Formats: sequence, structure tokens, C-alpha cells
Amino acid sequence: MKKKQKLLLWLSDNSIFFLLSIILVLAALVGKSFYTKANLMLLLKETSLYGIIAIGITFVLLLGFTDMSIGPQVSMFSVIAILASQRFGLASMVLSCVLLSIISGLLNGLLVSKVHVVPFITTLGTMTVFKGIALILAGGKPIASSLLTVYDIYTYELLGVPISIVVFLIFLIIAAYLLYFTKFGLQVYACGGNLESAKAAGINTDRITIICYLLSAFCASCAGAFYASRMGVGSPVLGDNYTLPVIASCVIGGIRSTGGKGNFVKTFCGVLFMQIIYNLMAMSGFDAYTQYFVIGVVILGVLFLDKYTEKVQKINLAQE
Amino acid sequence: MKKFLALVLSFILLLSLLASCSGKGETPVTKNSSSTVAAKDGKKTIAYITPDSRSPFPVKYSSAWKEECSKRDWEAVILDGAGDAAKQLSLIESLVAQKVDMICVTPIDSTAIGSGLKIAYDAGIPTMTVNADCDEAFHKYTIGYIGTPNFTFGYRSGECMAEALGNKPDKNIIICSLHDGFQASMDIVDGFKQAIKDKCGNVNYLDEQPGKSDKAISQALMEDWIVKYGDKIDAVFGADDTVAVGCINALKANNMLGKVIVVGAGGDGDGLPAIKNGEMYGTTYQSAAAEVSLVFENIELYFAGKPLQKEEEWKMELPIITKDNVDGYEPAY
Repeated sequence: MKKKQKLLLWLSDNSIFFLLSIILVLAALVGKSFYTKANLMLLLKETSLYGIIAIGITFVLLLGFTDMSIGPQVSMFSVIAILASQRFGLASMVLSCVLLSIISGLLNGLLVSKVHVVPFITTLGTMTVFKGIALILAGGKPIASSLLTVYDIYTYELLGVPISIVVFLIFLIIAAYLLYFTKFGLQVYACGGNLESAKAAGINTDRITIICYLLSAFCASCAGAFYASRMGVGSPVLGDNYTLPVIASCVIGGIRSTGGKGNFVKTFCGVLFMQIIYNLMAMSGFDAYTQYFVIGVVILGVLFLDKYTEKVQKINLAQE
Repeated sequence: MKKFLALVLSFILLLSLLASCSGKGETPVTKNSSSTVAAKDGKKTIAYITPDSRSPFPVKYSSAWKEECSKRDWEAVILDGAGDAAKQLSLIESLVAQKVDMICVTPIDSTAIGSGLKIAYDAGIPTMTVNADCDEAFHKYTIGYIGTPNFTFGYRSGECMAEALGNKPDKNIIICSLHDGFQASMDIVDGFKQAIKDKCGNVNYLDEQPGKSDKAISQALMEDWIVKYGDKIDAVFGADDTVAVGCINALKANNMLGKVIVVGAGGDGDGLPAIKNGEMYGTTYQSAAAEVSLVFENIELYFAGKPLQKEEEWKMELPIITKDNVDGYEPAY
């Protein structure tokens, strides 16, 4: 393989680290209050909430599938969290969401694995179902909690660290352990690499698919409960704009859309990178339209680099 | 194993770094306390968080904001909530980190904004809600609310509609609101419904859907409603003139314009020509520039250590515009 191609491949594999380094330098030059304690803490809290969702969806993306229903699931669980807290108390906020996430995860998992509808289309359908459920439960508008203690979950700190950050880091470690050190992780990569070959090798691909969608739903439920506690409100439209940025974070982090490639360190870096961009754009007063454009350009750039290096790899393999 | 160990050690390092980052807030702000007015030398920075720059009114509001800041040689920081209540919370925290002199916000959700207002309050930065208020429980964290009373704004449009309907009951009305879950939109619709109830008595609301301040979306909704309800429709209320005109386009295409009464809200560049052409019965005029001017009058009062104006002192009219007086008005935005 030529030197240039080797460099390109290496760059593509580690592009997120370069992007992160560049943006951190840019932040020092452009963001006047970026490197303040308050802003860095805010950045990490934002990263943790998106990151919790991203951890779940990473499992699905590694399979080569997708989950377009992730945003509406977050909305639905935020509504469920508030309703549960009003009926059964604060402790039920997270528990109710986690238990009900089994249903949403199973629905997606079974439809994709057993009915064999393309995951993109399947989850577009379930996206509408979950959004409908959220709107019905909330009566079409955000519901405020009557509990004054509803904010306590989000504002709780463990040894001075916000709980959302602690939970995110714990999830990250557990997810990384599952992926690197268990048979399940190997099977996820195998299914993502080539589903038919994995099946032929004796892997129960249906079971792996269902588990990945369950993990995705579980993470969405935790994020929904956190958002509900943060705002004191369950909103049926909260997660409408979360699906694409979360998936984009994973793709920027190096999770290949066709599956079989990526890891959680890169997911974390991808989420952090996106949040830094949002943070900088917000601090610079960019309106929503400009933010969409910038994020779109970044995603296209990363996808182009990924596809180009994939093509180069295939050519090299053919030559060898 | 090495990678996993590296991850765990990084986690421990990060946790210890974060633990050292936490800290308590500064002296909380009190209403109209001159001792808390940060008498800084140099330019004041007045931040405004819009609800959603995809709607025309917030865009006009932001332009007026910049003009008012420029007149006073203050720095304007305008951030976009992009229709996301959680994002508005993040933006407040971001502005607190930037240590601006004041944060003004049009809340997307009157309750969700509460925790953000508290954060600013604990950090010693005064906040004011504008154009839409926060929940009463959070008033203690703000210096006050200045803005169009959206309920009254909707009520005025309701009065206009009632006049058009001859104050008669049992009419079939469709409502094309703005965005899902947007507090100002809900207040406008509530005000409209109250006025109809007061003037007409019982009416039938055939349907209510958000037009999202988008002509194409509201036109598509109206076309669906025409298919579903047909000649039953007596009147349509658009919670802003843009969605009202979207509905008018659909009614025109189905030759129903003369039979259905349309009333809007806002008095924008779409609404006033529609009234002149006889396509829309009327609207309520809402001047973004006038409201922003009032906001800044009160910001000056706050920095001077004086109490804010009471609602009855606000010089903000909400005139009803119909064909009789439309020529006397320029588009509000």
C-alpha cells in the first residue's frame, strides 16, 4: 500500500481525535468564555445527556442498523417519568421508564429481526407510534410536575460531580466492557461485519438484534427521565430534534453506517465534538439555520472521508 | 485489557477533575435592589434567548433588540432556542458562564425554563421574561415580565372573529395554532377561545393543529380539513397571519373563500394585504419594535435601581385591524 493511502487510512480511522484537537484549539481562539469552569461543566453535562442516548444507539449502529425512533422515545419517556412521579413518587421516575423501555426496545427489535423490514423504515414507523403515545399521554402539550423535588434527580451530585456525568461514564465503561470483553460484543461486531456470515457461523442474529434495540431503548429511557428531572416537565416534542444529531455524533466518532466498525471511545469523542460545536455556535450567536448548515457540512465531510478510505481499502485488498 | 484499564483510569481522573470544578453560586439577585446592580464600567451586555428563529415574529424581535442595544451603546447577545425547551436551559447556563449583565428570555415552556432562571438567579445575574412569561412559581427568580399579554392578544383576535360571526353561537370553527407545546401559542389560543365564549357562547371547535408558522404546512392542514369537514366549516383562526394566509390559500383553491371567515393574529406582511384584498376578515396588530422598546425602557429602570412598570403603565396597544382601518398600518413584521 502506498504511503499516501496508508496515511489516509490512518487519518480516517482516527479522524475524530484530529477533529477534536482542532476544535479545542479553535475554541481557545474564538470562544471567549469557553475555557471557564462554568462553561466546561455545562459542556460535560450536555455531553453526558446526549452521550447516554448515543451509547444505546451505538449498539444498533454497530449492527449496521439504525433507530430513527430514538428521539421520540426520549420524549415519550420524559412524559412517562413525570406522570409516574406524580402518581407514585420521585423514586418511580427512572424505574418506570426503564421497565417500559423493555416494550419499546422489544417492539423495534422484533420488527427488525423477525418481520425483516428494513430498520430505517421500521423505526420510522415506530418513531410515529412513540410520538403519538407521547402526545396522547401528555394531552398534546408539555406536562409540568407538581412535585417540587422533581429537580432533585438531575441536580444531585456525587462527590461534587453532577449525577448525569457519573451515570454517563458508568454506562460508557459498562458498554465498553460488553463490547470488548464479552462474547456478546464479538457477536455484535460479527453481525455488523456481515449478517449472513454471522448467521452461517451459528450466531443467533435475531437475539443480538433484539438485545441491541433493548439497550438503545434503555438508554433513551434514562435520558428521558433525566431531561424530565432537569426541566420539571415531560414534553411530547422534546426529542424531536435529537435523533439526527445523536446518530451524526456516532458517525463522526467513526461508527460506520454499514456496521462492524467503531467503539465507545470514539462515540464519546464524537458526542463531545458535536457538543463543542453547538456550544461554540451558541456562544457566537449562530441562529438555528446556520447551526444546521454547519453540522450538515461536518457530517458530509466525515462521511466523504470514510467512504473514500473504504474505497481505497477495497482497492488495496483487490491488488494484494 | 490495557484499553479497558486506560478507560477506567481516565474515568477516575475525569471524576476527580470534575469534583474540583463544582462550586457554589454567587450572591443571588433581588428585585430592584440597586446594590445588586452590577455597576460595571464599559458596555453592558444584554442577552436575549429567542424561542425559535424559524418564526417571523422572533426574527423581527431580534432585529429590534439589536437596534435598542445599539442606541444605548450596549452589546446585544442573541441566542436561538430553536424550539427546544432543553436548549433554552443550556443557553441560560452558557450565558451565565459568559457573565452577561442581564438575560432576557421568551420561554418556549413556562415551567421548563424555571430551573434555568434559578441557575441565573443563584449566579447573581438578573433575568427577565419577555413576550411570554414563566410559571408563577418562578417569578421569584426574575426581575419581572414585560411583553404582549399573549392571552389578551388572542382574546382580541377572538373579539374580531366574534364580530365577523355576528356574535352568534353554534358556529363551527377550526384553529390553526403555532408550534406544539409553545407557551405563547397556547396562551393565544386560550385567549381566543375565551373571547369566543364571552361573545358568542357555545361554538364547535372542529379541529386544532399546529401550523408551525409555516404557510405550506398550514395550507396542507387546511386542505385536509376541507376534505374532512367540507361545508361545515364556518370560520378559521390562524394563530399568526402566516398560518392564516396558508389556510386562505387552501380555501381559495377549493372555492370556499367567500363562505369561510378567516381571522389571523400579528398584522404582518402577509396578513395586511390579505385584509386589503378581502380574503381575511381581520387580525390583531402586534408590533415587535414597540414591545422591545418597552422592554428596554424597563431594563434601564432596573439598572437605575427603580421599580419596573406595572402592566397598566405599559403603553402597548393591540388594535384590531379590519378592512376599515388597514390602510393606516404598516406591516408589524
